[in-house]
Amino acid sequence: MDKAIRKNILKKYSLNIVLLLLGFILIQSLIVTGVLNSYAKQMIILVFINMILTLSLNMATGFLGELCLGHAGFMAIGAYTAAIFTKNMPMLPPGLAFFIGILLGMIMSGVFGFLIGVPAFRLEGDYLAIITLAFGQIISIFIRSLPFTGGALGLSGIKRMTNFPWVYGAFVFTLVFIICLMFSGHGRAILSVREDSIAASSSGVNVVKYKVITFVFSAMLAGLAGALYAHFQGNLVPTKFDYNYSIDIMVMVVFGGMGSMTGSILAAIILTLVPALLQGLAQYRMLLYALMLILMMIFRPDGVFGRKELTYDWIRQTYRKIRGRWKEDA
Amino acid sequence: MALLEVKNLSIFFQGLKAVHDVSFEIAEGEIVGMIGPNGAGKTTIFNLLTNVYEPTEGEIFVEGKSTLGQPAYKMVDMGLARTFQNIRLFKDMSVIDNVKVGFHHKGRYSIAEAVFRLPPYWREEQLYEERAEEILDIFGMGDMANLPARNLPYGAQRKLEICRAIASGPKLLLLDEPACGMNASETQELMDTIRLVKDRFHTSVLLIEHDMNLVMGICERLIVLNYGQVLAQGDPEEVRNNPEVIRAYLGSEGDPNALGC
Ligand SMILES: Nc1ncnc2c1ncn2[C@@H]1O[C@H](COP(=O)(O)OP(=O)(O)O)[C@@H](O)[C@H]1O
Ligand SMILES: [Mg+2]
Repeated sequence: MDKAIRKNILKKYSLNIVLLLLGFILIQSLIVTGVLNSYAKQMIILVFINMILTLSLNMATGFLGELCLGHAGFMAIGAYTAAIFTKNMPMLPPGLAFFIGILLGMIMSGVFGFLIGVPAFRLEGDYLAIITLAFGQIISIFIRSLPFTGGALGLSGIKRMTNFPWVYGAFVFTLVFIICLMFSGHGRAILSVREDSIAASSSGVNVVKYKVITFVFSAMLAGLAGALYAHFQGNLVPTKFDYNYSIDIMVMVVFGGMGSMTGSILAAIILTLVPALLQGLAQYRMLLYALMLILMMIFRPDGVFGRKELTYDWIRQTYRKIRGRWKEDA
Repeated sequence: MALLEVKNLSIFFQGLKAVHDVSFEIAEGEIVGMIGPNGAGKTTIFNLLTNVYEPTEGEIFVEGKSTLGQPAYKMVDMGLARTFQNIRLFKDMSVIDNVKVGFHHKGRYSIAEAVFRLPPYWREEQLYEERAEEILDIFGMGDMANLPARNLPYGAQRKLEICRAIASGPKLLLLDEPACGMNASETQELMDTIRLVKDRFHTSVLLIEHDMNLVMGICERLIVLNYGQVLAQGDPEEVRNNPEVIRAYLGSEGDPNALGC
């Protein structure tokens, strides 16, 4: 039995593993050989951090179907927790301190996710949007006034540990975690709650439990992105994590398609790179952004991908279709 | 001991006595029909049985255990599964995944075992796959397994709801107007399937219908509701000839079959 299982795993996942490795080798070799300049390197890291953020928000909003408007707040908790830890642990080897800092940041974000999720989901009705909105504001006020967060001036002198291998590793972890969770009985339970919570509960799904669990995971992954961001930027200012940033992340998820991981990843890439490339047109940025969203709402209200994913099956079918059409023409 | 025992059940909505002092029993292996005009309180009784509503008065026992205070999601553990009058499927999930949600309450592997793809995950998922296919085949829906549920024709959606309920392994299956919206031949097929379900899966069935003729053929016993109260219960012949039932059905409300569902 277990032998068959092992064979099954290899067959199912070998292609994915190879692709993920190739992606890493490709980008890393471009960096090491100096093809990419330091600006490009920074953009890549930022893109990966945003991909982790969109994937995590997509979990709460796309898969669970709950509107969360305070995602930057969870990111802030992860960022500050990890940064304060690494700053106070100079005796540890930097890599180890960073790793522990990330874990602590994720745990702390998860704790806050739990504290918010339990009351929000036990109430009947959609309170999460309002509660998370308030939470995002409160967190940034707290950060500004607490003694150990550097106040409004911010926290500086954080060791710049986040490089490409770290963000790539974190991204792969996030992706694999979400995929393995969603393609399981637990994932089906999460989706069933989104689809019809009354039917889910009369099919035996503990709706409140799955809402809280998913929300906590979502918060933890936002904390992961925050911890990486802190050690990428080297300093943290509370204004970074305000309402606008939460909305930015939400826009990415909506743009890609709520409930599509492919969409979240693609949207994070496009909506991080395009504004950066349009830096010269900074005053038109918001205009272009708004225009794009309006066009989106008109032509693809469910986002670029809707709830679809780019899968091998999809590629295979499309390839066959195209080849078939090609043969007909010939 | 009866499988299901309902004792003096009542629920009032702001003074409206939707269900008033209803008592009945269902034995193991029975197919019982619950009939009555629209608004008689049939669906409300289902909502009470599955703890969606809390009764104002009365108590429900499944195999002698009171269901009072149990959360709705625990009712499948007690052996009750249901379908809905207005179909409630997980529309954006595949047909087979809809069925697999029915297995959820028996699921043993943890989130960690799922995330790390450990052997318990593979073992259980393989079992679910086989069992779900088996159920779909029985209902003649095997070739639809990978379609999104929303793409199914109406009759198939109704059947899928029954598949999902069966997957949870109920001792008592509650069907709320399963033939609603079906034509005569689809209805006949459905009735055959219900009988098959009873024999294959050893479940008792409580079946709501407001068309009396329809349930006559399949039910061994009928419970007639009117204005939230039990008007009569007994075997179909008895009920059909009961003067009060005739009056309720042919009274001022006219022909109940003319009403939509
Ligand atoms: N949640 C509710 N709040 C108020 N009234 C309700 C509620 N649920 C049902 N009712 C009322 O209870 C009565 C019985 O409804 P129902 O059980 O749906 O009838 P049916 O026998 O057609 O299934 C109706 O008058 C309905 O309006
Ligand atoms: Mg009804």
